[in-house]
Amino acid sequence: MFKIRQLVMVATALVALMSRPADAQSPKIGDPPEASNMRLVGMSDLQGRSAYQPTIARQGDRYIAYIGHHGGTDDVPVPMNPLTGKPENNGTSIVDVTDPKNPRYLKHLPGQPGNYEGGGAQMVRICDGKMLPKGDKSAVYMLRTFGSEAHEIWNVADPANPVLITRIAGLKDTHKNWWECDTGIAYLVSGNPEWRIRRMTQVYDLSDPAHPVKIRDFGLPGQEPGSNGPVPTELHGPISTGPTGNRVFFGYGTNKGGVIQIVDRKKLLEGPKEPTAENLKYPEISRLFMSSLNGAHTTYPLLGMPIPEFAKDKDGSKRDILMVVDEALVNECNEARQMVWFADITVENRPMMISNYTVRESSGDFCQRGGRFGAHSSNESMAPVFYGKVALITFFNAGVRAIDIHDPYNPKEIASFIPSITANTDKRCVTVNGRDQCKIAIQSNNVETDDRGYIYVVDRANTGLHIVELTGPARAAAGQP
Amino acid sequence: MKRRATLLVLLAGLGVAGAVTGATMSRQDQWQEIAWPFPRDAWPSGRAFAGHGVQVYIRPKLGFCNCATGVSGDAEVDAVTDLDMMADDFTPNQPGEWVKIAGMAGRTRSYTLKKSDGTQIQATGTAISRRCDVVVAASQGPKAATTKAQRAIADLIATPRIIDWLNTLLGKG
Repeated sequence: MFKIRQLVMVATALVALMSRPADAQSPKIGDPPEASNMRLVGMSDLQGRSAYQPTIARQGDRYIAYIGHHGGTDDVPVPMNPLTGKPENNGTSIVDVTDPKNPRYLKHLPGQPGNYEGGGAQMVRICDGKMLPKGDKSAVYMLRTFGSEAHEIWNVADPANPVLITRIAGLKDTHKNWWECDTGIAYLVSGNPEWRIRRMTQVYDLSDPAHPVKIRDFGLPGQEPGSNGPVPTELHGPISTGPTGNRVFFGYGTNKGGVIQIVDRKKLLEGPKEPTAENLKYPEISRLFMSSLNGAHTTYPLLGMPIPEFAKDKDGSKRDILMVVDEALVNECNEARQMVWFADITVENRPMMISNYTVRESSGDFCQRGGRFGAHSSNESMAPVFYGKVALITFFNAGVRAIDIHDPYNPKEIASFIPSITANTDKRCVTVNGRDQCKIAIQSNNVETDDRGYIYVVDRANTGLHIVELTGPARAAAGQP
Repeated sequence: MKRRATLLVLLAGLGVAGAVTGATMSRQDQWQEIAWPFPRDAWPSGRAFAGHGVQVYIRPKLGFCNCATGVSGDAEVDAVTDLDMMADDFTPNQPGEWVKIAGMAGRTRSYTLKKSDGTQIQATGTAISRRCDVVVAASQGPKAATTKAQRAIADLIATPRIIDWLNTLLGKG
């Protein structure tokens, strides 16, 4: 009788365990990373700071990673910097990744006080002074946001000892900018208090970083001061192809009402600048309205792509493609799926979505793991090692994914890596029946690559920087030795 | 058994009498729930009501508010309050005002909508936030811009049936 009772108890416990897939999938400290055709090379904890944009710069024979941070958290608003022994508001981490197996943390440059998106210094871009038309040839310039209120330029020629050059202040909601190193033209994402949206574009000439020259404000007609009626979706960020390509691709929206705008760069820079609806429309070539259920976080151009399937076609065997990445914004799938879209923009005034990619939710019970699940951003480096071959996409709790994009009409996942959580990994909560339900989960936020083929993934939930590389068939797909 | 049947008849009678009395008092001053009149857009449909000389459309928008600052100004009210569902053209009548409804702070602003046939109608947009989410109420009708109608809309949002519904969608707290 006793044995039967024991058996019933064991069976009940087993059924209970099997009926809780969410808990079964919840990561634990000490678990190995979940990897497929990717391998961890090295990592830095980034002092336990929530990370946004990584940018990797080659400075002489060194590779330096600059990583922008969100503000602190409720639990740790001002993390300790072990290098100074003092608590510092989240800002920019500067890490020597010359030896990716042993990243060396050089400097933490504090940012704006405040938690989450209310502080920090999320965005960072680097231009070598030798490239900038009027730059100091001995300088390396770092353009970063200062919280929500300013853009700053620092000289990071000595990355362990940055020197402030200039500051563009009096703004709000600064975010994901783009800087052309060969011309110095910068598309700064900011909020001009007079405009009707939080974020729009402020075009600057930063060819002489010590003397910024404003060119114009830009946005969608209806966003400008004094206009009425519906307010078009606010900007997330642009990517320019510079004077050679003469195009700027703007992505509006994060997880809703996405708009892709293709703009003639020359007309943008040289056209009438007064922010009227007519002047804002002037440089626009076309606009692609996405479903209201998705936004446009990153718009990454893949121009002149040979499409294998179309190789024997008399026309259209090469296509201009725009990879558009949405941003998942809400924890535990309390929104429509945010993913990756490919638009054929060969005929620029008739752009058309042709394919998409998402991580399969069922492959990891990602809606149950905690935090956000869905796409956020792609690598933005156009170095030949991955360009037009493999795209890297962060998917929050599903880590980073490598997609084979040789045929953008049929993108295929070829590798993935979900870092292990650590003691630093912050919780993510949803409210259920009046109570916070919190889980600890990886939140791979942004990704960048260098010209050696290393992949830099940073975590929004404070887990740090993971440097990974492709292995096996994925490495072969990229043509890496 | 007979006593119970009598009680039921009596209660039913009281209910009818109450309904009749309410109707004769003023149907205009009551909210009647109506079907959501707009096509699907970026957000799931909300709840719509008619009464007090206006129609009002209420819905939460998850993750659509700055977690740190809440509803920050009139530009945000212009952008989030679903006025675009009602008309392609709208003009604010005046600067908005800070409001607090059922513990949620935000702003409300009145507008003149211009319909596609050229007719004009009054409207209000209200945006209030809870953590990183926003609740919006857009109203239109001849009395939409009146203080009385705006107070009635605030009272409607604060009723248990709306608060319970919002709590289900936003999570209580």
